[in-house]
Amino acid sequence: MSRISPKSFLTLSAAATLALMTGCHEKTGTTQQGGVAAVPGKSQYFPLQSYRVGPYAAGGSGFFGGFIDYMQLVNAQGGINGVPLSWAECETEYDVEKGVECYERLKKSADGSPTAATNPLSVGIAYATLDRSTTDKIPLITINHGRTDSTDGSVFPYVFPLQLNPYSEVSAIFNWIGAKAGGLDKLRGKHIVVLYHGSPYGKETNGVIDTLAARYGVTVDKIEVPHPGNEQQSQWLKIRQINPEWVILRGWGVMNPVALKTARKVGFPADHIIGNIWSNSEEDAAPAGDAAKGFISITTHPSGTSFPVLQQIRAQVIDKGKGNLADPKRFGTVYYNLGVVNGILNVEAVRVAQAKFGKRPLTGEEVRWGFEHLNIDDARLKALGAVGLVQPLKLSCSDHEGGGAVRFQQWDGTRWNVISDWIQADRPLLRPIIEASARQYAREKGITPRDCSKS
Amino acid sequence: MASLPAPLAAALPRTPRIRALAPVLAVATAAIVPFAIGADYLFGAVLVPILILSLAGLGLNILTGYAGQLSLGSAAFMAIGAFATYNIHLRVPGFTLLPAIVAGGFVSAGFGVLFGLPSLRVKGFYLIASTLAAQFFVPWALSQYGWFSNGSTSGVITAPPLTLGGCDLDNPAGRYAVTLGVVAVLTLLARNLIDSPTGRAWMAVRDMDLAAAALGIPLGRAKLLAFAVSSFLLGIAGALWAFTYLGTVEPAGFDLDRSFQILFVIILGGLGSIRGNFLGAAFVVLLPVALSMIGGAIAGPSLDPALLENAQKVVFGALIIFFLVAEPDGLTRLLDRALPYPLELDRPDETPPAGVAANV
Repeated sequence: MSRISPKSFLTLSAAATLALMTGCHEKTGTTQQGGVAAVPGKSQYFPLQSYRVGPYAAGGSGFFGGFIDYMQLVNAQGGINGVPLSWAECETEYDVEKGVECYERLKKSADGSPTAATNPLSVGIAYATLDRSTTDKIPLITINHGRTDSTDGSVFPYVFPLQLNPYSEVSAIFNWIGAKAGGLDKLRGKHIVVLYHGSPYGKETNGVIDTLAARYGVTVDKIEVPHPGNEQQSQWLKIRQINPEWVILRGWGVMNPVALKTARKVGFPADHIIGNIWSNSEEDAAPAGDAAKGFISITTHPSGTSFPVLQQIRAQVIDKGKGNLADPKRFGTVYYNLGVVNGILNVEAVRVAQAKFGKRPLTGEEVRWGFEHLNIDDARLKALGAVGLVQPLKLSCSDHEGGGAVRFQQWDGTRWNVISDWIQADRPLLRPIIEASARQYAREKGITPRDCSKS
Repeated sequence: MASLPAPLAAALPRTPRIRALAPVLAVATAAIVPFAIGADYLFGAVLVPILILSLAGLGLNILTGYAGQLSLGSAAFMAIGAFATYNIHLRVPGFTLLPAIVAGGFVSAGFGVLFGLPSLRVKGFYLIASTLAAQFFVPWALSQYGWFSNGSTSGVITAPPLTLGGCDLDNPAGRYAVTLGVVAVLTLLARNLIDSPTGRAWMAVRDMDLAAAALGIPLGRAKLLAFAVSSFLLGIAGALWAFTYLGTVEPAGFDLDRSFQILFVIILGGLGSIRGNFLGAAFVVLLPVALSMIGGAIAGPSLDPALLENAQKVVFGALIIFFLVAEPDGLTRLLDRALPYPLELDRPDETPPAGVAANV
């Protein structure tokens, strides 16, 4: 039997150790920098728990591509009041354990620059790093997703489900369906199916859907699609049998095009399927081909390249050959634009905090204050070149969401066309549910909520 | 099979002092060195998962490596342990976290016996199929019924704060200390059990159940006991995974992939070896991290990150195949041959993986 000798094993392991050590050593030198000359320790650092492989790679590569390109734009324009941005990436594959490992690996920058915030873009990872973020005093940003009750900032000081939490999403969809039917009172007796991804993200809204259904007298069937969702024949046969008025597609990644194709197969019309905020990209519709024509979805961040901020990115980042996207055709798509929106909000938070704490790299605690005092109005959006791309947003100690509005868009076979103005969620209706849930969490964890009237 | 010819091995008596001291030294090192370095990353992302996967590997190793019963349901028992601990801690007054973890282990042991019942009639691949059923049934049931996660909207359970006797341990070092303590005690107990007549009976069943029966070993009892002890350890590993590692857990976190991961731990580390579990767990946790760090350093920002990630997966697979070809008996045997003789720890006669193969 041929076995390697102890000596050669030792040599091998020594070589591996050496390689690992040079690896770690090199790592300290390779934090990416943009156009501003960065002095070690003097930049604002963003750890990026990105994912570019696996079933959700389309979402991850687009989002982090947009986020990084926006940060490059800020650096090319001189940083935030002269403070450059820096970042480091770690691949999570949308996997919770990997996400935790990446969080711990990246939470401190290699050169000692303070950490602004983490943006894992995964509900599972956000749940797992929630306590750690609070302990480490690093804001956890879950734009358009995350844990709904973290909207209540008195219990979750470090968590920010910016723009749109999962409950608002559902409420806005109900409001739009109601408007279509001629008023919310006309919804009584209608039948809706919710087809959801079998993950914490997918299940997050099940409770509130029941509440809203009871309120409006709608019959709702909730059908689960196991992760990752590439086989949905039985679910759609069941939907065909129920024959609902609308199907709300709460999908993610590969589940979305498969849903559209299977719907076509069983003969359910695409223009009665409403994709939620994670079923709304070109990557969700285009692979389904003809079956996607007419598919409706909600969005907080329309696709398109005409927004001034995207034109600036094109001129100052992409045309200079520094763009992060492997496929330049994805510039201006939904996921990319969400990354840009996320970049804008993170950078604005740092800017707001700098106005209070001084024009220097800020700690996570200070940036948290900035997020909590974000106030982006139309004038500010115009200055940012993001009118229509970002909704006006005002956060506070008790409200970590801020917006709660969506626009509806329809796929015409090649691109998304916006078909509605901003539709607002019924936030006063949702608030007591969110507060009750946050209070239960505070009780379980022994947290004393902050008094928001004082800050 | 043995690394030394039998007569030679008998002629050279082992140095019992080193054998007895080694685990003590290992625990002492584990208890002191990381605290001296004291980095959150080391605790939270490296050592804690390695320890927990080692314990899970030990659980599976008792069932597969020592008692010869094949299983692909390890993650299901981890899930039972995690959710049982959570619910006992939440609903039964008077249970603090540590007793709840032990109780969770016993619940898991009970289910282990239940799902082990088919082992009385079937072996090998057929037993794999029946443990696979547990693997699919348990996470399904846990996510289907909201009661298990206390009606949490997303089906995710959140860990309560970790305190022990009024001492706040809810920080990376504290979580590591708790994990290390639990794993060290259980490893010691498992080692003694394996050295006891019970362990001998398991190995007899593994090597040839007919012969074991002829020797008067009650087959059914030995097999079910192996299932119970194995599930107990797996259940506690699951509870630690939820409460000292992630701080949160969803049923999907204990899917078939996790079962395979634990199977890799024992195959890579060495079937029928205690030390092998720790080596195997370190291997499956550290290798991807090392690959991604090296990959990032070599390629720099110029290369497409997606391509780099995929390349790492290829390298990971190739390395596993390489190690298995280089040493089918696992890392523990590899280490044995690399170490000078007096430090050789595992007795070779404990490790005949051929017996496992014979049962398939």
